[in-house]
Amino acid sequence: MKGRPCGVFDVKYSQDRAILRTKTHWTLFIGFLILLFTLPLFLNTHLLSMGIIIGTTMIAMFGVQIMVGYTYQITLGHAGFVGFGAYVSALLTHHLGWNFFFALPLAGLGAAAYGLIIGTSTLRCKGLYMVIPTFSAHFIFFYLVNEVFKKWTFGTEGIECASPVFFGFTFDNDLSYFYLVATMTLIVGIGAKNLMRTKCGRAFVAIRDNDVAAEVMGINIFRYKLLSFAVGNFCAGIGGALWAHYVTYINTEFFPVLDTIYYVAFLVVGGMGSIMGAVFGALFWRFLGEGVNYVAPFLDAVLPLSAGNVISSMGLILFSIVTIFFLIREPRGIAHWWELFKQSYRLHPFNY
Amino acid sequence: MITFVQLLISGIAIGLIYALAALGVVVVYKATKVLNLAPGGLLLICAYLAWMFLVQLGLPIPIAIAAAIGASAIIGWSVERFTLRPLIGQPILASIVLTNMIWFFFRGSTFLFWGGNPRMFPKWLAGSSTLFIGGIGIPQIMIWCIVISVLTITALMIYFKFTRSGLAMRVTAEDVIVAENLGINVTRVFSNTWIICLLLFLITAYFVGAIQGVSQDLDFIGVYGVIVALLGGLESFPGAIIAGLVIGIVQSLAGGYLAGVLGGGIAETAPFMVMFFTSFWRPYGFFGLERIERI
Repeated sequence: MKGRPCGVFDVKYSQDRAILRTKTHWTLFIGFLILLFTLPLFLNTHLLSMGIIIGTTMIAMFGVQIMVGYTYQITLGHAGFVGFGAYVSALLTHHLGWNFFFALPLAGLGAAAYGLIIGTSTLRCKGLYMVIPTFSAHFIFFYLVNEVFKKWTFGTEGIECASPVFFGFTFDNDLSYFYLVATMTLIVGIGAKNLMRTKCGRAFVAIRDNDVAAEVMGINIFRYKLLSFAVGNFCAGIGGALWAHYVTYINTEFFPVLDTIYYVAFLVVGGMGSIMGAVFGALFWRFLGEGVNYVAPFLDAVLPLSAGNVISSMGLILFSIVTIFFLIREPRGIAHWWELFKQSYRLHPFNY
Repeated sequence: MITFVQLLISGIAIGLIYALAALGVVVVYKATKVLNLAPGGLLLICAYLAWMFLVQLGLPIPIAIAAAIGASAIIGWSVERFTLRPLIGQPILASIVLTNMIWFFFRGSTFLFWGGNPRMFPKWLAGSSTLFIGGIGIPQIMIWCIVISVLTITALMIYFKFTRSGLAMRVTAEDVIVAENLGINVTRVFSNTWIICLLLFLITAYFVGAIQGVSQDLDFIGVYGVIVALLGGLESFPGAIIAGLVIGIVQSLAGGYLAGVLGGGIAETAPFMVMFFTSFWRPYGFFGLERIERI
């Protein structure tokens, strides 16, 4: 049971259930919103575009959190699902001339449908063996895009995605797109947070903790596992579509096998089983990547190795070392540090 | 007909290589219950180390082979000691992520030191000549591959069946706590397992390196190795061989017959499709053990 701050008493059930309980919570939340929406004033274009990438990653990461962190359906195909959403939206806007804002929900639903097809394997597979269908899903996605639907997706040449238009207003610069992504991230994040407080979310957690026991308690585990796949991949599809229409050009090279594993790895770094974990994971991933981009050219010049070797390999080495460090030293992730911080703030003058 | 037999034979050749890589995964899973997703990276580091001793440093052949074996064993030991041992008792996701990260670590570090250019092994064992029997070409390397893999598999089975440390491994696989109560040094068993795994990867890496050269593409063999191990059942040596042959033949036939109809990517994707549909039929692989669960 999480401790309540001293002097805060819940006298109604609605108070007990509320996410934002105290005035301090509300002040901090509104302060955060103001900060988020005035952030472009302080950031240059480079940091702004990084913010957009972080936002889209975060949306996809909420999906991984729901699938892996809450339901424990290990997915090693998330970059494929992200790509699936991106391609659905790209095809709808490019060939049928749809508005992006109609294509966006369909991108989510398309990715969710693909996830459901893959998820039917949960009927037989569980735990470790979920690696098989999800990892295959990634490669089947490559094959679908590059060979089967080549006529429409233009295969490896890639497809263009137009910038979103909303009643004559085009989101074609970083500033406007930042607001779009920030709003979507907030909506998906709050939605994911709330989903976990419903019957469905509690069923997910029950399946994670022990799926045999969950079944005995009357939870239809096949249905809820499929639901988890659908919701998780819906988030992935939304994130992918938003990302695709920001970079305005995609091909399958943008959804490598590496990313599919980084999604799960940085979820572990961020912290499993809380929405903040996904937020921290996405932030940590992208900032670490940015750090590598800054340091690698310098190291490449200093170290006595062939030119270019450090630039291509430093990301791999650093990411793997960081993840291994977190797995061994702090398996509960950055979200655990956040919890510790909150706990010590609540009990402020005392140690425990 | 000749095309068919030719495709079949090249499928068997590549399938045996997958099977050798898969044996490393199976050995580790049997004893430590860790799904080893790292063969990509471990194959790379083994191949590059062997190449370094044989070609780059130009050591005499027996010393180079001994050095390669020793280096692989040290890598296997340190992977187990420094990354996997602290994770004993953690949920399976931890070991899945960890082994993936070991893959990336070795992929990155081999690229750091040796770059992306393909390197070739000397041809002293793997002759590049091809035998022709009735119009069907059989590369000599493939005959060596069959001989060596049969020898390796027999040796592994004898080791598991008849030696004391093999017996210790089987007990550890069954139940770690029982093994500890019987006085078996479980941590040493885990180390031994990883050393055996790395030696198997060294053999695989040599064959792949002799056929297509040592390059960063090698890690894809590792990915297929994992697939083969999962398809054959994670606890079964014969399963790994059979699944390796199935995947190799499927890949070769798909590349030969279906590439014109379904696009060139079918050769790479067909194994994954086989995997996906097998997961409905036999989720634990062909010969895997289905664990009965209790609450």
